[in-house]
Amino acid sequence: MNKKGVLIVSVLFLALMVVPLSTSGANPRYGGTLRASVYHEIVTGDPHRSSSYVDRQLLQNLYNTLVTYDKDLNIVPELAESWKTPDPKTYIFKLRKGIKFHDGTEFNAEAVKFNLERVLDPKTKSRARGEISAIKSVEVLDAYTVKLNLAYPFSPLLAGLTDRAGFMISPTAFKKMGPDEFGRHPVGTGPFEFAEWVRDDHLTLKRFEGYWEKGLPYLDRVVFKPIPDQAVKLTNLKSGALDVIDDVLPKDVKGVKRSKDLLLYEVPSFGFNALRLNCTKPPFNNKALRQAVAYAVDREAIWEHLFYKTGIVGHGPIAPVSWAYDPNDFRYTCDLNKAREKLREGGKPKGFKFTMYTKISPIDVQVAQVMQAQLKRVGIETKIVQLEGALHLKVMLEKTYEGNYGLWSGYPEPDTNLYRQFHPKGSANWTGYADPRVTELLDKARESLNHAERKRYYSEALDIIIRDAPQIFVYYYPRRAGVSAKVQNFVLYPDGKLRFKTVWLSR
Amino acid sequence: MLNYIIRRLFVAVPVLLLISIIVFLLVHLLPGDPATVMLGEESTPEMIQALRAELGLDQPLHKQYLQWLTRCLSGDFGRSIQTRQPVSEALVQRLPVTIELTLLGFCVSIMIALPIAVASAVRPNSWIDVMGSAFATIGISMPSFWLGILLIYAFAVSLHLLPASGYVPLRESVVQNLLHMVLPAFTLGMWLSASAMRMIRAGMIDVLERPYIRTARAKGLSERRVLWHHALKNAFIPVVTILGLQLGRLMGGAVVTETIFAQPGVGQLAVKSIFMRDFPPVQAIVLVMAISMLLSSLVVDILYSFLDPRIRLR
Repeated sequence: MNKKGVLIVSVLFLALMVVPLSTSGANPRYGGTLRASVYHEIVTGDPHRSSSYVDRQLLQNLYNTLVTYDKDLNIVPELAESWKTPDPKTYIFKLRKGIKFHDGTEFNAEAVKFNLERVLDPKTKSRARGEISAIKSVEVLDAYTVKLNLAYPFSPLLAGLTDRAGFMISPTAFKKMGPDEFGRHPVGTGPFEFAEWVRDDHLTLKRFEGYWEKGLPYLDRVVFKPIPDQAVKLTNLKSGALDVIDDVLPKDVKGVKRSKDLLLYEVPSFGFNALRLNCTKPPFNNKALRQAVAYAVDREAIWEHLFYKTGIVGHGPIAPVSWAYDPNDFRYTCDLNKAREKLREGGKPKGFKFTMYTKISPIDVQVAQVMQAQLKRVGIETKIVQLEGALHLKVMLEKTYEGNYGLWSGYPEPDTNLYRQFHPKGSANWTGYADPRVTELLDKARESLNHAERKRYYSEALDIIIRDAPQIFVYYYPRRAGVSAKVQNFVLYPDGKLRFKTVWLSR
Repeated sequence: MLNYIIRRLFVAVPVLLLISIIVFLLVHLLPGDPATVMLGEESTPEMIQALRAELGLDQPLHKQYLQWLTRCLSGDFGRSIQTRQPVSEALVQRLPVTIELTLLGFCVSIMIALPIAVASAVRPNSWIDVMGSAFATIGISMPSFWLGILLIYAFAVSLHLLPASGYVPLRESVVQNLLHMVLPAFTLGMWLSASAMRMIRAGMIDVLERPYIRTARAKGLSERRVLWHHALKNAFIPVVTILGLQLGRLMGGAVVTETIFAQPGVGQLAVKSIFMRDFPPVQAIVLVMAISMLLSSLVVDILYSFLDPRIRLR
């Protein structure tokens, strides 16, 4: 099978598995407690100070955002009823009326102003600030209308408002409690309100009786249990101690699908795994040597043997599920002769040595080991060093590594993926990559509100980035969830967040 | 006796002080810092610097240490950097879990080890003894994470008899609490029972050859009384010392067990806090552990002199 064939088959394969059990005809049942695993203890309930992916499982059920994604990833209204952009530097939101926070505070334009200004205030140290920092000022036009004045045109703004920056917290609760206390007793407008939190054991949400979407939610309670170990997680799902688990390992996929009490949900995501090459120091400040690595890695083999042919073979920083993906962009395939040619071009015909860092994670280390064997075929020797989380972060931020294998969890908005990683000013430009044309294209795409035009800019930028090989893209990973058969109406989005607003339990 | 206890407690002070310095240095000299971990993958040097200043991490180490020590002495262990939860609150929540698990594990190990050890010692090289040795070898070499998963698979997944993980506080439901504790306590106890069994067996064999046992038998005491009253009490003297110190080891073993069974104990908190470079909980936990080790060795010594009048202090 050729490479494109593999891709098509894998996409079809994924699409087939996404189809959930049909619930049409059955009436939703109210009540019950749903227990879900999260891979790590939830850190904070304060969306504006959250920096951990795991928090989003909580935030998504506790809060609403002004605008949000539907399951096809269109941006749709949520707390805002509608919006318009009279010019690229102005956004006007009309808010829904009659919405209350869990503490009874009314949701209105003042609340939006309070929230956005809090994110923008450098003293908050919000990780989400960059997503909306184009906002110069927030104006309250009337009780239910807010106007955002931008300092410069910034098309990813709405996407930013669907995420951490856009979650609306109760201003009164926040002012009463202060930031430390609020993070531990969060108050939002979402379908569930905070009930109880026993650190490292469980976090319980209960149905918010005053929720504005009539009839929702169905569940009485949602309990999040932090369970880092994959085997323990799966065992708990099988034994019935959990109803939903937030991930299933590739090797366990078959078993879950075979079980008649369990369902496997799998959707392609925006995330990918890649070997990052540090472009700021030898050997990888030499483009030809990066390209030699790109040609020497056999992605198909990794996909087949380590990911059990689940997910999609990786070729770039934008996954096929994104609107910015262009199948015609350049892609590397394994070609040892070309790899040797690039080694000669880079002045190292006999190969060279470098150190590859990974996090301490069995699957990451396995991928690194397979790459190590593959690179050796053209004389590139690698030493694999496993680093614990905090150290891995340190070498990445300080750019003191040569190669490091890891993942990027990915965002639906292409700007968030590309600008952060490949623009010299990007907050996640860990490889130190800088190309004047790419920089120009990414800037232009930000300023444009024309979809077709943005797509053209991204496609050109992607082609250059992939050829330059600052990262060796290996794998587009899917998001997975394992779910008990009694869980109805569950939908897994490509962002992997577990949404329980419309879920109900049979029996 | 009281004098002795007071003297021992007094000696403990410089030891604790030394431990506090070592802990503080070890934790702070770990590469990677909490501000970076907290701000995550996309943090800038300016953001990290600002947060470090806010947390007081930019101060010289000795200053930080003195501040921490004075606060600790007044019972304030600070707040977790990550979660902003007061550390004392976290400890109060978690200590009962770890203490209960450790004590239950200890009981389980004695309950397994004692009958096997006595039976083996009475008839060395019999089939019971051979089986007992085999059991001890397996018990010592079997990693507890593996045994834990095996038990979960058998009793929770296949038989649906016991919960696979989690914890229910005693005050909420005694039955549920114990049900949740069975598998972890067994996993933890199994680990110690093998070595406990070897120790008790060796002690018993040694004691059974002593003249006073012969005397007791000659006096016509029943074999049961000889064994359980005269022999076991004496065999237990060295065992108590070693087992007492094993309590500390058990607490360490609880880290693994708490992780497998997702129980919110101190061990789990320590591991997680180390990964997050969350200094205050780590420092507090190590201090608490050190104090409990000092106390348990003191209790062991007191118990020892109670069991063996020959070494009772003047």
